Amino acid sequence: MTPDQAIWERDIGAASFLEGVARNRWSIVSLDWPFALFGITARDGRIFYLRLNFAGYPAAPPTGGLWDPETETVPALNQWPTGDAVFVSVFNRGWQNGLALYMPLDRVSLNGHHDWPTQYPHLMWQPDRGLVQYISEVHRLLNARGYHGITG
Amino acid sequence: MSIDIFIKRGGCLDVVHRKVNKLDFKKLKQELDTEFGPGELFVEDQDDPVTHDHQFKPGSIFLHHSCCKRIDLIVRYAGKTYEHRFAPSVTLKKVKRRAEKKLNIDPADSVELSLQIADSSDRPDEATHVGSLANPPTCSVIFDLVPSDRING
Repeated sequence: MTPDQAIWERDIGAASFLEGVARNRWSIVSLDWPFALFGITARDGRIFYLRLNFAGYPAAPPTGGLWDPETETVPALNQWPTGDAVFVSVFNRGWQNGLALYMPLDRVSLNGHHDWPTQYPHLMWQPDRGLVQYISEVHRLLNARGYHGITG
Repeated sequence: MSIDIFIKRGGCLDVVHRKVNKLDFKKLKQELDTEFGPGELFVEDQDDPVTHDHQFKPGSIFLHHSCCKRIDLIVRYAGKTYEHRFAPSVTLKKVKRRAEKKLNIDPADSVELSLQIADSSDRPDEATHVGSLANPPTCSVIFDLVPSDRING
């Protein structure tokens, strides 16, 4: 097991992650290192699947986006969540072909956005907080009033 | 069948997880008092300290241990303030909902707002207990209600 996976295994068993599971906010579905699949509960009860790449964890932030575990691809447009301007700025299916969420916590999206640490300091990755930071932000957006369900 | 207990505490964002086969609050409180210093044990979102005969719903249990019995809280928004004394086990989800109501913010007309700790850029998770943000013996915390960011650039 590589060091990044060992720390990931530790964090998936930590109280901060288990608390979210106990609250039915999220769950771990599968692991195919460095990819992990999570189920995130939206405010209408729908489960969205989030596939994250944890290579280099926790020094490097994860990267990833919504996933359809049946087709093993990014969800079709009619299964993609929609919402207000804040919501769709992050869940932007046109960005990286839907393979990365457009927010500073995402490794791929952060690349090249040199002003984001100043603009969005609360959304900067903190290695000591770990994977819950990314997952809880996705949960927050899917439970905000700016989330309007799926288009289909 | 084991019971999952999640314990948060005053002035600290760490979560403690315990699995027990039987609830024994007296013993649990003694252990927490020894580990963190004397305090009261609250059930999440409840106003008063837990009693030994408290009836829990099935499922996980969420508790808060703190020497602060009440947290003096101020929420600032658009030049207005909302002040209230909360039990330390109250979640930020509940604080935000109540502050929006008292500040006459109509959720239907407003963008999503977040509680941000005053003079910082920290926006704690909605499941955070307000007592975890108040360092004893101060037992107070000030928030600003700020709009969620549209990510640009």
